[in-house]
Amino acid sequence: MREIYFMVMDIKSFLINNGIVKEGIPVDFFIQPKFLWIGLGVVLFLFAVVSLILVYHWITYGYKPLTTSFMGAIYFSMSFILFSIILVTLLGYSTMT
Amino acid sequence: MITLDNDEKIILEVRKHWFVFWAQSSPLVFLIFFPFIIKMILSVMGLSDIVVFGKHAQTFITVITATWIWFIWVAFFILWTDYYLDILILTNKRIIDIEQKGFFSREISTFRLDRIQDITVDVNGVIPTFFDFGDIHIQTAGEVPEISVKSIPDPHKVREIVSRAQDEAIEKSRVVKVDGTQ
Repeated sequence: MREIYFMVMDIKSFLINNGIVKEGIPVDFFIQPKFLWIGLGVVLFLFAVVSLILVYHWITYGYKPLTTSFMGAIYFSMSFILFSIILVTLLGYSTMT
Repeated sequence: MITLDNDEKIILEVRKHWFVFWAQSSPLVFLIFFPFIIKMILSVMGLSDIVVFGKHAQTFITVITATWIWFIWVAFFILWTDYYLDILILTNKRIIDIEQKGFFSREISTFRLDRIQDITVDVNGVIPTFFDFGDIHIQTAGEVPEISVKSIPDPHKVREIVSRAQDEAIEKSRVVKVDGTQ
């Protein structure tokens, strides 16, 4: 690991010292928000399909409703948090543009 | 759901050992942290100074990272469901072996306890020996000659419980025959 670190640092120094690469190169790319919204729609659709199948299995074949309800609550809570993060970020992105 | 007879009681429910589930799901734990690991490595190696992401790029990276974690989260629950629905149920009358194979395939084998001919336990390897899990093979006189349940915890104890339940079931059927009540 130490050797790899020094090797990378050597490469970095070489690239910077010879002007091949500069520090602090700004990288930015713009994607039309509508494409990101479509992407979110596709992800939501896939999530809905998979969740429907999972919930069907938990209800039909689950042996202990308490266990499946608990796991279901964790599953949907975290999914909601992740969805909210994406939604808020996308809303910010849309207003930014 | 399993439908039991009125006088049927569940003696034992066994799923695969937790280690098996852990072994299946641990790559997902690595994958969930993958974007952060990459960022940390780049930062430790000083490579993050070279490229500075703008506002749009940062937003895009946040969206992609959150979506990535969401996918892995769902994958984890698919694995858990597969693990949870695989079960061996022992009642005072029969053995029910349920094997969930993906979402749309489910195999259920059922046979009466008095049909059991032989029970074999197979603990093979360092990890199964250390964590005490293994396969149990139950041979029967029924249509299904043998069922094998893989990676169950404490298989020797399970064999003992099944044998005891079998003895009790046989004894009960003898008593019924002698009494002539059935």
